[in-house]
Amino acid sequence: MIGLKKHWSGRAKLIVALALILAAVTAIASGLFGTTWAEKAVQTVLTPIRGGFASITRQIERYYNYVFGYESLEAKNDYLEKRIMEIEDQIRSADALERENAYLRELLNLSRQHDDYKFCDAYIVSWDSSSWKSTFTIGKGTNAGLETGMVAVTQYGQVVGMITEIGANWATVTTVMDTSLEISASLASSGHTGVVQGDYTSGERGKLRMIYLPSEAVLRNNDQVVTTGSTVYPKDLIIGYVIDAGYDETGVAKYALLEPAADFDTLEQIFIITDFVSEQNEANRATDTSEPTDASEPTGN
Amino acid sequence: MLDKLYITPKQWLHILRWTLYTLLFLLAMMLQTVVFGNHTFLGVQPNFVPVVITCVCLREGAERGGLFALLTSLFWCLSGADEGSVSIAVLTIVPVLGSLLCSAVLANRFLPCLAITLATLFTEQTVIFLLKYFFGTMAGSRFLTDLIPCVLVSALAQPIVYLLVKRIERIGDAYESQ
Repeated sequence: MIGLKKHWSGRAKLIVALALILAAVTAIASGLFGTTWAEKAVQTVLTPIRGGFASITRQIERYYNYVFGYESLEAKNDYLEKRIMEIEDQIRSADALERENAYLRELLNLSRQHDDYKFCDAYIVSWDSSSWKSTFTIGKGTNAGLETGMVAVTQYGQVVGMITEIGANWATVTTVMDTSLEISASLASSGHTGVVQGDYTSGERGKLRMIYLPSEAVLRNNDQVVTTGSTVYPKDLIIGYVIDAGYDETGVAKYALLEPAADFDTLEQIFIITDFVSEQNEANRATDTSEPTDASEPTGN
Repeated sequence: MLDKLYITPKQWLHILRWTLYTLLFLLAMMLQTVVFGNHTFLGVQPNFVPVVITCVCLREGAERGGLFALLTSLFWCLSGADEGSVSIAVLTIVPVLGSLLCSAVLANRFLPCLAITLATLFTEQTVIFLLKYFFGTMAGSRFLTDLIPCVLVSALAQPIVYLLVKRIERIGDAYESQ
């Protein structure tokens, strides 16, 4: 204790006394005036220093996170990538459903106009198109009630083609642009008839050619060309529009170059007409119905 | 007249020493307020300022160290420290008394310095805790869950600070001995 008293100098006492006084003064000043000018001055001096230090700290934190947080970031990145894939998948599904909804809505209109048509929708699963061939495969076949010779149309009733090959769960549709397909057609405005087939001779890809038109036929640009109706093709399905015309090699008949009505570039889903009423079909049905009746008559007697 | 304005090499070294102490104090202050201001270390917010003040005060003695403690604690208080005016009294008186104790009874070495640092931290935190507890803004249970861990974690910085202060203190030793 003696030693302690020896070191307990006047200056040390003064410092302790000053500490107590300053503590009291600052407490009272703070209580009375709130933030004092001294506090403001100190804060003003410290703020840029703190700002600089905070900036350095942020840089160090970034570097630290880059070095030590790499694995967690990688894991987080993987998780987010998976989530994005899932969300993109959902968006794709939603888009596909939206498109299907639009197709079906249009098809509903077509069904109202032609209440005798029966449809089977199908998605195109692959294209097999070359310079000399225009076909595609759909994901439905005989299991869905499809047969060869059935006509494929768009939701707007535009002719796409005809089923030429079929399996249990697939079918090949030869499009109207293929030269092997011939469709009996007429000009909607004048009623002149001819035959439409794919045109690989004019040098313009993706066009149709209407041949065997009478020389007196008047052809105008954008004239609508529709099916004349047969046992295969229902009547008045739109095949295309006239874009050019002329006389054929014989000089006695006219031809017309057509723009296909169906947009093959964006085609995803088609509708197969599985049944429709035509004059010939009606007659066939009448014959079919009369035969069992005739046959049943003897049984009934 | 001009002779009086001349600063001797010894005085330069004194200035350098006290500047380094001040920078160390500012560094501790920045670490406490900027780096650990919104982060925790081992679950608590460490308190480095008392550690620096105590170490400097113990190494420099009750008079010079006491003055440093008084000025820095005043600056600390005015900078908006949570401890407020309490810090001026506690961060000056406890290190000064500790320094006197070290000079009279204990050796001015690492372990006594660590003990006095712990005492300073504990006293400062306890006074603030008691004030807050008295005004009903602090639960009693936080004495064990917050206060003790804060004191112990803050004391972890003491060895580094002690070594730094010891190094700074040696600046100008050659002139002192002459």
